[in-house]
Amino acid sequence: MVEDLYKKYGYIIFERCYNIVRCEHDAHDATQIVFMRLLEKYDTLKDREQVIPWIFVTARNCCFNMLRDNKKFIGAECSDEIGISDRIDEKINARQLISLLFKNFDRNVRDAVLYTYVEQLEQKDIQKITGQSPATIRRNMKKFKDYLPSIKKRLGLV
Amino acid sequence: MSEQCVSKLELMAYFSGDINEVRRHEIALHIDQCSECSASLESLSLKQQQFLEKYPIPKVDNKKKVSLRINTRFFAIAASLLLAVTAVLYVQMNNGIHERIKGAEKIEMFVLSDKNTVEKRTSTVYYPGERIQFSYSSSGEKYFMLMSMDETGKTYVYFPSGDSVAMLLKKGAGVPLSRSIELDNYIGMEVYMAVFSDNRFIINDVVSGMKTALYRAGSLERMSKTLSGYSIESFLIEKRQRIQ
Repeated sequence: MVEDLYKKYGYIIFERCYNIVRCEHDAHDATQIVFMRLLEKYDTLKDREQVIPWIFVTARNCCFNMLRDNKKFIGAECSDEIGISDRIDEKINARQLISLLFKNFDRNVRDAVLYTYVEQLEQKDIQKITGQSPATIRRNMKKFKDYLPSIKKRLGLV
Repeated sequence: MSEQCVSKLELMAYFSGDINEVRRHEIALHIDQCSECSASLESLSLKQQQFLEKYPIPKVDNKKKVSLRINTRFFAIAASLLLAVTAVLYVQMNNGIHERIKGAEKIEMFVLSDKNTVEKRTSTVYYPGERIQFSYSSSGEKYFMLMSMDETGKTYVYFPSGDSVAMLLKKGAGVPLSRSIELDNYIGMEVYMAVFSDNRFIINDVVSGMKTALYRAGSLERMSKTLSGYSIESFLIEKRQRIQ
């Protein structure tokens, strides 16, 4: 059972963790933690369609806890960029984005931005994971976008 | 990507098999026709393979204790994981998926590969069209039947074929059953059950007993695969759509 679950979910967990911590070493550490929690939880997840959303939430919690405990990103530097609007040229360093989300926004805005820009999920998927309605997701995205000019200024992007 | 395209979350659920039958069927049809979704699924499969090659499942090694990369921050967690793995494996060995209930009978399941070789699969994942073969060992003459059951309770009796009473097996070790079984197109969990008894028995008694067990438990994983007076060995498999 353990082997089957690891084969089924190992990479899915790893990818969620990597998308947040942006370091393979740390993502692997986080994967171990999330997988262990999955083993504990799996039998109680009677609706199997809840497993993947559960992985998203648990990986997010685990990785943000790692960031909180470490105060900053650890591991090798990562320079990949993420689009933060419909404009193709409007991009931000992935680590900077996650760091700003972590420091400056509440969990709802953080989730909306993380799942929209980093995970590139559709609103219906974000709703399944967070329970936020499409209107709430839009409102949280607006809060982020309103704050974006000052973020970019602080990052020296304008 | 069209509006009908499969969302990322659904694609993952489809990939991991955590999706209801109706939606699974719809997605499978869509993927057949949509190159973008098909490519996404293929990419997911490829990345998973690469991940498993790089980070194989943690194994317990007596000399090194644990072959996981452990750092001190996660030592306690890794120790818990090891404990959980051991506990689950212990339970699985004693009660779980691939169990022997009692008696001196044993049955093994093999897969006939494309190259006509026989292999014993370590995972529980199988694909439609694959051929499986069973061989049994028994210390004496036993009455026997082999049946399968899917999640919907649909059953099929492979041995004996077309008879209402169990067939008699002669004693022997590693004796292959007379024919192989081609897996049909059903996608999902299936259990194969080899039933032995010292006494002649009616096939339908076992079939209805198993259907009742499934009805009570609600799933193939949880259902009891024991019946009083019978020795039953079961193989729980998951049939997946083959990714082209």
